[in-house]
Amino acid sequence: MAILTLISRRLAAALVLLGVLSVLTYGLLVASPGGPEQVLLGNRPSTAETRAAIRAEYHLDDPFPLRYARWLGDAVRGDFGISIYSREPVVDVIADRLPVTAGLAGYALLITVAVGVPVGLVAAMGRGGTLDQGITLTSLVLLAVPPFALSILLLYGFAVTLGWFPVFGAGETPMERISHLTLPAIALAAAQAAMVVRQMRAAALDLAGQDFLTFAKARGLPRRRIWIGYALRNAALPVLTVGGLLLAANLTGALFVEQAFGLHGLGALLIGAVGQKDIPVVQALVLFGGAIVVAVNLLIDLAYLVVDPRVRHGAVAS
Amino acid sequence: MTLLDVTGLTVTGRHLIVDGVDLAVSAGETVGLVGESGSGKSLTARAVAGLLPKGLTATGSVTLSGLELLGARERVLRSVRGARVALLMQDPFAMLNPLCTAGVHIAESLPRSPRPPSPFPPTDPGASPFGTVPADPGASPALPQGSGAAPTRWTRATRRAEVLRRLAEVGIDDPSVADRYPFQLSGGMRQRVALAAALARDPELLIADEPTTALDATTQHEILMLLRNVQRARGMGVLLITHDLRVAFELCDRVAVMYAGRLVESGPGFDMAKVPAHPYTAGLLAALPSATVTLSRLEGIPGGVPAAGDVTGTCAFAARCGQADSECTQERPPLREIAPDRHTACLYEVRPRPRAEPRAVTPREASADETLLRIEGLRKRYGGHVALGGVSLRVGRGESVGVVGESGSGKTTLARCVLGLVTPDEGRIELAGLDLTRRARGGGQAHRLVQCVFQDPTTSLNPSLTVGSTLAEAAAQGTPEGRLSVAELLDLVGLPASYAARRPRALSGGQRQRVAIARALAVRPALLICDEPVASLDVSVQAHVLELLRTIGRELGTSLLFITHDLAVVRQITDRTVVLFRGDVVEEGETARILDAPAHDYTRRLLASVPPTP
Repeated sequence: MAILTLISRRLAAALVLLGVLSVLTYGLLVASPGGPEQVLLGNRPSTAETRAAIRAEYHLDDPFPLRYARWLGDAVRGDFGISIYSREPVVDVIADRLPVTAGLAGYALLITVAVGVPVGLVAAMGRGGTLDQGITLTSLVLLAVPPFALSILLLYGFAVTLGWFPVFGAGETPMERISHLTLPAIALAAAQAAMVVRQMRAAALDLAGQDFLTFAKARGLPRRRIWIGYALRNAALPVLTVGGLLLAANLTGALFVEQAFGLHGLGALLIGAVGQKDIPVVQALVLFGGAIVVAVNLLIDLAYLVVDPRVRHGAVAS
Repeated sequence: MTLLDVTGLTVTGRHLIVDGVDLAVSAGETVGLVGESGSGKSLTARAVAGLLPKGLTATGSVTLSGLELLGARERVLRSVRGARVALLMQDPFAMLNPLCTAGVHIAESLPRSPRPPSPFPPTDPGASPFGTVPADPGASPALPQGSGAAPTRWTRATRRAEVLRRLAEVGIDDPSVADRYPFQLSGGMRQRVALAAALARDPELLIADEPTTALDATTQHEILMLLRNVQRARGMGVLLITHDLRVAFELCDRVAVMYAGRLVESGPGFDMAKVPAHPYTAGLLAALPSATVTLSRLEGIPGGVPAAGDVTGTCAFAARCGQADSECTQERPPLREIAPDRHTACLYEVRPRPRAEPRAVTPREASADETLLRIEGLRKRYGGHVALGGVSLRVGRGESVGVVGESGSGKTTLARCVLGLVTPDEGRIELAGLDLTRRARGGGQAHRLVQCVFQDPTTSLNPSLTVGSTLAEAAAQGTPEGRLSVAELLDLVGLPASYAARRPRALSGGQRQRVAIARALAVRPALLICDEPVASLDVSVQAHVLELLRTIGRELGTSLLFITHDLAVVRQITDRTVVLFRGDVVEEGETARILDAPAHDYTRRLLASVPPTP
């Protein structure tokens, strides 16, 4: 019962959030310089007739709420209009770019978790030792290096000098895709893995002083059981939140890395669309980004339900 | 036969913590290790289990039936832990993995494969005072019968049946408990589950480190009795670590007293209770509050526990001892045998202490007739939980009223309502004619009338303020006329004026609580609410603080509303007592009458769970 209320509450909150976001997004068009018809016309010559035609086509003379409702209705059905620049449906443009970014984001998250979690645990285990200090220092350096700078370093080292990885593009076949995305994913994951390392280290240190860990040892449980069933599971809770937020950030904000590696992803699309004042595309991307953040947070909440019985049984308000 | 043999155990971190402890536990024997906080008793236990926190090292020798454990490889230790030596810890709320059910805790602790004839049958239901009857006859003992060959693997069903059997052994006959998570269980239930998990591999020795300290009085008693029954049924050796002499005497065959990292006395509990052979033990015994007699004066032990490293060459207790002479500081007195199996580290015979006279129970002066605090029909609900179900009580001017109850009885909610920290749903609180239930809280006058001393002085004092600024800040809230200076306040609670420059960190627990009391008194309140003010303090310090509260009540005419679960404390400090049970007042009257002749069943149960004072 508690689960159902929790989920429905979260869903309702997500819907409200998206609603507010959509109003703001739609407002972009209205508030843009030169008025909506100028934006929608783009660089085409603007005569009185074309402007009238646009006004009629986009129902620009209707009151704002009506226009918004119509736009929202279309948007919900997946119709964000036509890109001003490429004259293709916005949804197609995004669908074309999404796989690259999604692949990159997923790959980066995989690296982040696969490296960050164990390294963080190891650092906590050897607290204060040389290894711990080395890990802490490295993670600080990685946090400080901007992703685009790291991208260039990686490109120079592994793609140009050593020639292990391609320099440019996203590749065609799945295998090619992996090798093409490896360096960008590393560039993206480096700082994030450093964050997860620090988070995991703090969580595990916090755990190390807990009685239940000592009690588990005192019962002679196998080491694997203690590390996975006790330390990792309990430390995973805070890391889960960070991981989810990182995924959302990757999907919407991998601009620099995409630019550096010449990947035609969503980040590159957003930069282009902003530069060309391609408002429908910007609108769709903003709304899409918002939806992703909301959806990922919802997923985190659901994951908490699975992992933490206290949340599942409503013992603590999450 | 000696099961556990500890000789010359020394634990060092940055300082010396445990200094040459010798200890032996035989099979089937319960040995108590008693000491106040900082005596090194818990670290002794940890060292025996090979679970010292990082940064601490142990030297000496710890052998288990001849097997040396100190300095043994981790692999050896892992094979011993759980299987031969089990450790039960203090805090049932922190000991279990919050993400696993009770059943999982027990199941994961079971041996790899079922042992053919289970060597330890569950305690005989008849012998258990809790009526342990397996709820589901089909679910009880379930090892396949008659197949001849012992099963070599757990199946889902046998494992589940074994888990239920283990739960039944610790007095939980409700099979659904196995599927509950720790946060869904009460403290007592958690401690039972933890005990079942600790015993899952049938160890020969159980080290119980303050297993009941975090529990309510009645639960405490139940768990102690359970420990005793399980120990007897299994013939197991038990090393019980406790700060409470009464618990040790009640449960243990032999008792060893630790002070500043070393043993000062050991022997059969019965003898020690009658004739303590070390002044420290005698002092501890004298400091114990009694639930049966009201004493005219509570005697603590003066001074504080020294660091083990500072007293290596002398008697550790000499500085606080009433009969110490120059001999005592010449060299460290050895643990000498004064009778068979009876040792003391004191050079002299302990002079019998003049036992404080029982206080003549005088009816309170006339001023008690004048009502200071009147509470009528106070109700408070939290969701579906009724914290207060219509509580009424009154406190007279200068009177000391005890509110007794266990966790969940609503006593803390009551205090918080009076303090204005919680808004009651219904009812009336009137303090010196001021209606406290209203939102305005009497135009900010309320906090000058009522102040509070909380349980834990470590967290109730701002660590970044000096004692002086804490007190000055508090005093500034009061009226300008008759404002007490910091020095006067410190003097009031028996601390030197120089302490004003210190921060709470540099004070001991008892001194911190004195500062907290001074802070509460700074505005000269008419009513002082004390919420378990001595529950986190050691016995010797507790006596000082109680005596202080008693004097202050007498000298300043401050009324006390004393909230506690400890009946012995109530006996010493209050005139009248109110017994709360699940948000309702079940009994009320003069303290001595209630404790001598309890009328309500619940009061009787509370009284029965107080360990007898030797």
